[in-house]
Amino acid sequence: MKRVFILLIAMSLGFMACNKNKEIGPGTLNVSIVLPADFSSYDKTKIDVYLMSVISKDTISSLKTDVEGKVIFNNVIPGTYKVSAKATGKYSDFSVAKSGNFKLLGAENNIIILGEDVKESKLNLVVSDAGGLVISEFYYNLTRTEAGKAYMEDQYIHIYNNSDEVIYADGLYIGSCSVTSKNPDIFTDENFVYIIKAFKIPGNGNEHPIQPGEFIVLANDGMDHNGDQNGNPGRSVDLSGADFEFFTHGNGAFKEDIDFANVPNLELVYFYNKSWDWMPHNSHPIVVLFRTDDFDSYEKIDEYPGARYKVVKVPVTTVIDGFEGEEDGDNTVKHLPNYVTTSVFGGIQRGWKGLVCKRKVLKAVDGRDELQNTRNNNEDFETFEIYTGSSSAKSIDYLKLKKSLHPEELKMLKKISNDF
Amino acid sequence: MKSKYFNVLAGILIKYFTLPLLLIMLFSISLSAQNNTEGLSIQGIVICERTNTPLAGVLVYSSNQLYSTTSNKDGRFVLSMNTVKQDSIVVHFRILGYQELQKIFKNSKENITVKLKEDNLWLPEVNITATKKKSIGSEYEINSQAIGHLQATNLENVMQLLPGQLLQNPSFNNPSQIILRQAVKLHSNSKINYGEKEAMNSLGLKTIIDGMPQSNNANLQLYNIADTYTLNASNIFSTVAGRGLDMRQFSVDNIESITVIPGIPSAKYGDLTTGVVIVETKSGKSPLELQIKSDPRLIQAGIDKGFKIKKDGSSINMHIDYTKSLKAENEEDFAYKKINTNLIYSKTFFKKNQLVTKSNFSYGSTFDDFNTGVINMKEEEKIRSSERYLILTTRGKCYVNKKWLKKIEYQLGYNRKWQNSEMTRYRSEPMQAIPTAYTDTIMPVNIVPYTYLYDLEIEGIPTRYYAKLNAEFLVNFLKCENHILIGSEWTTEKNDGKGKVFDINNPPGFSSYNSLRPRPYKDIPSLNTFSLYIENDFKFELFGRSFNGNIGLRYDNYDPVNNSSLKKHEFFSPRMNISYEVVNKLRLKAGWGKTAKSIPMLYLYPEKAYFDFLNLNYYNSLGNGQKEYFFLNTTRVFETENPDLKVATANKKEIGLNYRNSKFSFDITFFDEKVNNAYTLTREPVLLSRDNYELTEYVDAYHSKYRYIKTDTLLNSYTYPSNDKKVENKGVEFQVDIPEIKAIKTSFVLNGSYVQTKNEYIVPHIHSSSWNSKVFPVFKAGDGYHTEMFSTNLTAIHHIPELRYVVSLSMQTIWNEKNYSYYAPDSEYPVYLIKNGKKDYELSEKEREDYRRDINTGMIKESKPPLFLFNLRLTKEIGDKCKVMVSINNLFFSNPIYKSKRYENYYYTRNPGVYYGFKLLFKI
Repeated sequence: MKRVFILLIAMSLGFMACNKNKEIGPGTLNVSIVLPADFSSYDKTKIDVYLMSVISKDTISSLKTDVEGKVIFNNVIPGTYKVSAKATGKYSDFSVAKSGNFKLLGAENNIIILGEDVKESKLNLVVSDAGGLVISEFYYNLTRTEAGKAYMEDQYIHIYNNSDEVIYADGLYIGSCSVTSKNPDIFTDENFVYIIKAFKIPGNGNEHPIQPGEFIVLANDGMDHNGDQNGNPGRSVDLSGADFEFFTHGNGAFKEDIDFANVPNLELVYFYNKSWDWMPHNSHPIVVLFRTDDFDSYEKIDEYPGARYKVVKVPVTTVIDGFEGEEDGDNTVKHLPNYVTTSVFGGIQRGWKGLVCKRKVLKAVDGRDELQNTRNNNEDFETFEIYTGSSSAKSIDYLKLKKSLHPEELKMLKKISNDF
Repeated sequence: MKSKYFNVLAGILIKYFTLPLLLIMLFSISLSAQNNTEGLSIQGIVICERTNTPLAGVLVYSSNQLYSTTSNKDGRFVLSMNTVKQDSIVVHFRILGYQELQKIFKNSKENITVKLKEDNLWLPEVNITATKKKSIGSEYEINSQAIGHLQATNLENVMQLLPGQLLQNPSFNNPSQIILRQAVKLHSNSKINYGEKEAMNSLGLKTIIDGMPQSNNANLQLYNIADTYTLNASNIFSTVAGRGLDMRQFSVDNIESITVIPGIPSAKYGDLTTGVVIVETKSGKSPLELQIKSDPRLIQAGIDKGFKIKKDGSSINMHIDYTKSLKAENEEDFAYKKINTNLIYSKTFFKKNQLVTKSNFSYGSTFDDFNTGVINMKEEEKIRSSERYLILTTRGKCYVNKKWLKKIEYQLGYNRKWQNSEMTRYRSEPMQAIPTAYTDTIMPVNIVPYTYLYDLEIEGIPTRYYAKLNAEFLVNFLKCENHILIGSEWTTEKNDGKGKVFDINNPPGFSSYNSLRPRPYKDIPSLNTFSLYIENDFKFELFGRSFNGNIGLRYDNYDPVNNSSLKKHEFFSPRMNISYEVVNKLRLKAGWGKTAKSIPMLYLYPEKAYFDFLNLNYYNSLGNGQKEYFFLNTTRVFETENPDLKVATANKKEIGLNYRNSKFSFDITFFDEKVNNAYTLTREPVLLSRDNYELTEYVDAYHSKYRYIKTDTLLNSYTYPSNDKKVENKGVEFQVDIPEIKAIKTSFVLNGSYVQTKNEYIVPHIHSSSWNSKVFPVFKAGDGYHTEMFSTNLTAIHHIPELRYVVSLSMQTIWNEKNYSYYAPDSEYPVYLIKNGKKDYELSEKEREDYRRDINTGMIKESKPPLFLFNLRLTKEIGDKCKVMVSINNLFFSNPIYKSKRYENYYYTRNPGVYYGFKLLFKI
């Protein structure tokens, strides 16, 4: 019996040895592109496909597709890759009732190529508004206090200029939606977003420019949460330099929101109830950016029959960007229309872990990052830990400098280094 | 000055003691009319059936309880009854450890021998269910054997023997309260004991222990009544403030009998709307008894001993019990602990015209760790309630046995409780400005950081003084025997506690919009009640059949010293019960009565509502954690005392049939009870005007300069005590007893009830979902909540005396359980709107449409299918010294799931979970 056992061990060692000795050569990646229905007539030979190393962030290769919309990357050295595709054009060339330019984007992350593999990737392109403002970073997961309780004051949102020209933030609306509603219709409506709170960036139209590749910070409370003893010392972020803060002038409640004089207030446009502060739901946040000159004329309806407060119907065509997240494993019903996002971001763990979600960088263009916006939250965003102590205002640099490795990347790095 | 005091004193004397004086005069008249020779006299000896030894200290009394004596050390007794009518009379023989014996006598007897049987399971008869008393009215008696077999853990637990009461697994995690004749709304997996309507039902229940009425009237262990919607919602601590007594505190191991009167009680019971529970504890000689009960979450142990002091025939009973209940199975932390000690001294004076006295000293403490269910608690955090209590009471019954005057009874009692609710927690809320003003003020205030450890303590010391005196007469006129009772009661209740205590600069984390201030309880005026009552228990023959009746009148004065703002404080409560034998052994019973329940301190003296809002709000982060701030705060204070608060009163009606023969007995009672002016809490909107300022020059947090900008208004609300609802309970309860069927050695008891409970607004009210708007639609009276329950309990009792065991299997069936809320008819549109604090009756068409209310989900009828629950109880005697008891609830693991009609994807797990309990009893 013992002998058999030893034999078995020896055999398995032998197999492993064979495996190890196998030479690792370059692999192949076949990419095929699927165009959206409205754009099926698009010239397939004009689609750019990029192969990018997840580790180094370098673009390894860029090719154009053939007439069938296919492209083959040969001699790809083992590693983790991301493949993305882009097509641009004018709406007027297609039967789409919109003016200006469009951008079709598609990407797949974390394609692992191990020697002599032939991998297939199918990219479904979706319409992405070229450039514009996007939510580049959203922190809602909360940190813990020293006593282990939730610290609920330090949420923030970054609004990023993803275009190559200056955009003024003046008049931009930030709305948030009800998480639970007794009226499921408002979740399935693809034409409207139903908001319960709305704030507006003040200004005459020329006051708050955002340069290409830069962003503004909207803080829940414009306080040095990390440095101030009244905040969450040593465990949070400094938002005293935020561009704007959410502030609701108290409604007589003892729990009145504090007005931080160092940060200008956003303009309160609509508030469904009399809560004392703006706060996205920390396990199921839903936020949209939109622009309108006519908010007051938007229809307000009872959230559900018998409800005493109203929700505002925001036409989906006015929405510039949106974010919907859930804690991992919630599998909640998606509230936002597909036009805004086709998925719910699920990368945040439950329980005040200090996690922040950031939009992925698509590529570097002229010294600025172009962020990925495929209107698919789960694909476009990734999770990081919040950088305690840093000023999250105007701190795009830390994103590059201190960026943690994605767990998958770490795993791959280890594996690759072992293999070699 | 002197004459003024004299006038007041004389006034009080004349006002409140005229009747007692008259009473005493009546005493003397009857005392002078001595007539001792006539009447009935029973003489004899009481012996133990098994040992044939004489029994000393046996209580021998007539069933009308007007004549009583005790056997001497040779077991001899003489019961002389000075009654004119030589009718048959039932004489009871009662002593601890023996089965009570009743004998009927028509004539005087001498040298009779009465044999008493020891209370053992080898006796052919056992009684382990609630017995409906034959007397008029509705009255159930539960003896110690039944309590023992049930393995009840507290007083509330015992009630499951009554018709319509549902079984609940013993739990000490939450306060438990007794409710009678009410359809309860069952929640997922457990019977909910509290809730607004249940609060009134449990509050209206009077509990009397050894003659001393217990009370919860001065309990003020509540966080903030000015911001409480319903009393169960404010359970920051485990508390029963404003509701009925917490029955967890009352042990049942040393109880001799419990009498429950859900119907119309005698006029001698006051301060109630629901009914009366009368508990008599054991007194007399008894062996050392050791009881241990355990289940996966609970351990209960008790020791009892009764000594006879040979010299003078007096006895001392001692009782100690201890309970510890864990939060959950396999968890170390306890949820509840208590220890009770009880010392009873009984002594009988005089050979003739005996004076029987019983004095009671009780001391104990309870400890409730309310951390259950609070997640993420740190070691240094705690939420707990504890209580210590002291009861001193003495009572005496003097059997004077004169021509008319038969008995004089007195009672004096003192009860003090030290209640303490404490919360030590981390505040974990946004930085806030901290107001400290107690009056309308505008001033600069400091701020508190996001987190710190705070301590909130509520100390209440309810103290009660109680005195009672009554006399009983037996008068014959018009061929009718009249048993007349006249008496009076006085109660003073006070709360001597420190009250709500916290550091105003480190206040508790306020989760609500109106804030809290420390409040001492010592300044709250006392509650006083003076009562007089007269009652006649009569019987005569009508068409050859007996007619029994009971007619009484009670007078309650809830403010005899005029120290409260109560407008109407005098109440007359007439009560009547009659019973007539329609055909042989079938009696028709009927009753009607009124009762009143005094206003608890919580409702009568609520705390003020404090509102705080910022006029100037400035906080500047200067970097590196440096900051400057200045907050200007307005405090507005509102009185929440309701000068129109009324005493809750009940109208009770019942009619029933009672049939009894040797094969079976049957009892059915239809009842209709209405509580008017039930105590409620009503939310009042308030408009607050706020001046806004802006900073002109920063100096420091207290001395900065500012200037006025504008004024706006803010909307808020507070709650105040009210009588906005009525509660109606209608239904029928029944019990069928089938004594032992010899062939199968099994007896059966079937009882049950069908109850409809309606809880309805009697005043126009703001619809509950309107609280987020600035305009409040007010809808007309008549909205309410309807609950319906039809349940039965069939118990089979199998008893084999030879093997000395008794086993009972019960099947509880909830045939129908229904609940829904409803709107008043034609109340789709509001009656008026409250706009800017003013009532507006002229609604525009748009407003009508805007505030039209739709059907809400609560109106969807939830009606659940029949539900069965099987439970087993076993008691086995091992020798004379040991008893083993086992209880299993939900024998067949039946927990069916009900899918809610009202809420989508919501399921109820029905029936309590499986439960095993074990109890051991040793006699040494």
